[in-house]
Amino acid sequence: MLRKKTHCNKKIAKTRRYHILEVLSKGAFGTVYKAKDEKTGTFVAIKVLDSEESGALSTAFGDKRKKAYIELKNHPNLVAILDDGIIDDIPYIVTEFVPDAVTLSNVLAKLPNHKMVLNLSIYIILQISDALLSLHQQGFIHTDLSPSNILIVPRDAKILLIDYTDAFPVESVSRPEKGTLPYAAPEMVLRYRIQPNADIFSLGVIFYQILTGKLPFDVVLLDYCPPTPPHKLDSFIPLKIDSIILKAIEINPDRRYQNIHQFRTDLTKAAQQASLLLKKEEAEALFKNLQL
Amino acid sequence: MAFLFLVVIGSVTYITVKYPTHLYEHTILLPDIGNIREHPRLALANGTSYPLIKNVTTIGRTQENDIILVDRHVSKYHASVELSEEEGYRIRDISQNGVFLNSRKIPANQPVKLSDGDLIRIGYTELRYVKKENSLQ
Repeated sequence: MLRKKTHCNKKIAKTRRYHILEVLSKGAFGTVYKAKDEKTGTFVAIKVLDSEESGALSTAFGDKRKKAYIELKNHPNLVAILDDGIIDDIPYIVTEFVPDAVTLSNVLAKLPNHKMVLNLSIYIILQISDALLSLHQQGFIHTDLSPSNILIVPRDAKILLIDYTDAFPVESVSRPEKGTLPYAAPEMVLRYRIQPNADIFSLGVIFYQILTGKLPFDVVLLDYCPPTPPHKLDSFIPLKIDSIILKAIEINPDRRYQNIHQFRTDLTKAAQQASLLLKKEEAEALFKNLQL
Repeated sequence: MAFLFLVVIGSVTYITVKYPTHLYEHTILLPDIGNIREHPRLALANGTSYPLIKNVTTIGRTQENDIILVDRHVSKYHASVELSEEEGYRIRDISQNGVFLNSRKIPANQPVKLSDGDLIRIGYTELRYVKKENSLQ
């Protein structure tokens, strides 16, 4: 493991621009480093694919896709992409470094029963749906939305969507190469054609998980049996929120929410009626109480 | 603590599996087609099956379709399986080459009701309509 780390460090050092400081996270396909950009003097995050995987997945980072995400507009809920390149056939992506950020999966791991309070869950989901709205409006599908791809900065209640470099153009006819179960929509797992509402499925599964501490579908069996409605697991969950979640995690994409805008509108309305809509300051206070 | 398992078997999809315990995660590779159970499906003789999860599932030779059949006798856009509230799943022939249901050619562009065990021939490819798991055993 140490050998591999040094290996990647050396590669990035070849750019002579980024000075690697530490490993931020290690995922299934690569490692994210914290680095200093010698040109601007700022800290950045660099995602480097593992050399063993780069061959299989380099197409995912290929020129076509590269152009795609580089054209994306900045959005307050999307981590900005600053630079990218390929060294010795290994692609890397440089993004904005977000200090004091934790992933949603790490937050859930720390919480009792791995679940969150209702109003804070809605706050997070609405922020992510804003990011998705921006991606979808620009013609992209995230395709790999999961709690590990959601960053939270508890200090200022900032919610950011990361890892959208694999975002998929809507009009593309090819299929995404990877996904995360059980967040990946069934049509994606089956390698059928996907629409932007594949992301709504992922968001719905995350919503279900952070509210109940459980996953709606059995990952191993992959049978997609109708899930237990969230309010049966926690009676505090209003029925309107319940039906929004169930509509988002519909297996049949034609019965699911057709666009993120509709999902967002329904959730905002339901949250307003139940007085569950949080202001930024209120969310900050709640995150502070969580002591993350 | 993370456990990573990687196996390469032909053309595969990379899927990461995460468990709610957050204690560990691992990566598995799924074949091109998942094993979503309990759904009516179209099954190939080689065991590959295509669960019908959409209102309209399209079949053809090109990437634009949901089910892609690698068979040069299959049209680019050959057929679709449609879900109807009254009749369940129905097949529609949208090709020039025809669709055969239990060896009989179906009328063009008219949906025909599917029954459990029906054999559909598209090009040189045969697909069995399976309504319920193990129903044919």
